[in-house]
Amino acid sequence: MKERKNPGEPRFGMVIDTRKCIGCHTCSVACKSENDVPLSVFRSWVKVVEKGGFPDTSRHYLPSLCNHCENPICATACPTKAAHMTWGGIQVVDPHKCISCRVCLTVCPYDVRFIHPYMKIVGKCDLCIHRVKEGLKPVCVDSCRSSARIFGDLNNPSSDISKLLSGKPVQVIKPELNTEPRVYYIGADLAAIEARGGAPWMRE
Amino acid sequence: MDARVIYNVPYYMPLGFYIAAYFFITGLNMGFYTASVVGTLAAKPAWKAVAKIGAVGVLIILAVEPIFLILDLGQMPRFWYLFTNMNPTSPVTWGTFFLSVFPVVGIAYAFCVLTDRDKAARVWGLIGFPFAVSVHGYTGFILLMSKGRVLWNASINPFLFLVSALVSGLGLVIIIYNIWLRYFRKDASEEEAANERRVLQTLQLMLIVSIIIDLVLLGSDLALLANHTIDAFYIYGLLTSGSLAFMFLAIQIFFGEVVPLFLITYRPTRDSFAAVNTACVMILVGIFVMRYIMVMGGQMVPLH
Repeated sequence: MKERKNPGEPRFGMVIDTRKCIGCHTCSVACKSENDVPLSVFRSWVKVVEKGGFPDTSRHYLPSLCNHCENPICATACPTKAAHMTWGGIQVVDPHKCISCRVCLTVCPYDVRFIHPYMKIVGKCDLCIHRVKEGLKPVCVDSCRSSARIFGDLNNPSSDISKLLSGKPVQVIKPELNTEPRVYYIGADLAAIEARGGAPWMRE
Repeated sequence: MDARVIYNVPYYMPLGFYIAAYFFITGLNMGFYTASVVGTLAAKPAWKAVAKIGAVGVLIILAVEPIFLILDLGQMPRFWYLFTNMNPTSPVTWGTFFLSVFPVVGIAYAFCVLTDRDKAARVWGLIGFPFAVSVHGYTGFILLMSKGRVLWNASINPFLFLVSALVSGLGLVIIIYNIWLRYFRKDASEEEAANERRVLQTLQLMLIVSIIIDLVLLGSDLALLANHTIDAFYIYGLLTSGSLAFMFLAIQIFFGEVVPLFLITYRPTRDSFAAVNTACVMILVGIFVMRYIMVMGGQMVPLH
C-alpha cells in the first residue's frame, strides 16, 4: 500500500466489486435524484460490455464515476481554481468560480465530467460530499442493492475499505497516467475498463 | 475476443470550432509579428513595408482573437475570473497573462513601426517577441496537459504549433506584400524594385524552411503515433486511412504544404505573382485544416 496522504485527515475512496454488480443502474438513478442531475448527463453510470459469441458469452459491468485522483490534472489545469481538492481529498467544482472553459473536460483522462445543460457550468461526482459531511455514505453506495460499492476513509487502517484494499487484488483505471485514482475495482474486465470495449471497437 | 458495449453514456467533445479558429488566428498573429520584427531588425528601406504589414496585422488580430475565446466560454460574463482567481499551474492562466501583456507591447511596437521610430521599434520588437511566441505557444501546452488524449499529449505539440503558426503568418504576409508590390509600387525605381524582390525572396526562403521543419515535425509525430499505444495507433489510422485521412493527407499535407513548397521553390513558379499567391492561400487553408484536425482529431478517441 502507498504511504498515506495527509495522515490524521480523512482521505475518502471507493472500492467497487464488479463481481457483485448486477447492472441494475440503481446507483445511476439514485445519483441523479440526490444531486438533481438533468437528463442527458451523468455523474455516475454503469457501463455494460458483452464479450464472446453464443453460447460462450459473458456480460461485464463497470460502475463509472469521478476517480477523485490524488494527482488531479483537472485541478492543475483549471484556470480559476474552480476545480479543486477539498476536505477528505474529494475533488469538487466550485459552481461560483467555474467559467465553463472546459479545460478540465479536455484534460480529464476518464471523461467523467459534463457541462450542466441549464447552469452551463461543469458538473461531476463529488462523492455526495453533503452527505459524507453528515456522516452518511454517498447515495450510490447506500442504494447499491448488492453492496458492490464500499466507501470509506483510506487513512483509517481499520475502515472496511482499507481492510479490503489490504486483502484483495484491486485495480484502477489507467494507472499508467500517474493520476493515482481513489476509485478501485475488484474483478473488472479489461473489455469494460478500456474505452468502447477495448481494441475491437477500432475495427467497427 | 469480440467485445460489444451494450450501454455507456454518450461521448462528448469538449472543444469545438471556436477553439480551432482561435488557434489559427493566434498563430497568424505570431507569424505576422515574427515577419514584422525581422523586417524591423533588417533596418533596410525595402523591409519597412514588411514591418508595417506585420504590425498592422498584429493590431487587427489583437482586436479579434479574444472574441473567439470569450465566445467559447459557457459563462461569458465570468471571463474576468481569469484575472481574479488565477491558478499558476494552469496554462490558461499563463495564456491570459500573455494575452493581456502582448497587446500592450504589440501596440507600442506597432506605433513605433508605423511612425518610423526605428530604434524604439527594434527595442519594442525584441521585448515583444517572447510574448508573441508565448501567446501562441501556450495553446500547445493546454493540449499537452491532456493525459488521456494521445494526439495532444506530445512534447512536440508546442513546437509544431509555433512552426505552423510561422508558416501561416508568413504565407499571409507574402500575399499582402506581393499585392502591395504589384499594385502600389508601380512607380518604384529599378533599384528599389530589385531590393523589394530580394525581400520577397527572403520571405519565401523563410517560408520554405518553416514548411520543411513543419513537415519534419509532422513526420516525427506520425512515427510516434504509429508506434505508441493502442489509442495512438487508432489516431494514426484516422489520419492515414480513416475519417480524417482526406483532410490530413490531401488538404493539409499535399495541397497545404507539398504543392505550395513546390510552387515557391520551383524556378518557373517562384517568381510568379499568381503561383506564389496561390501557394500561400493553399498554405493558409492547409494550416487551418491542421488546427481543425488537431482540435477535433485529438478528441476522437473516446475515453470511457
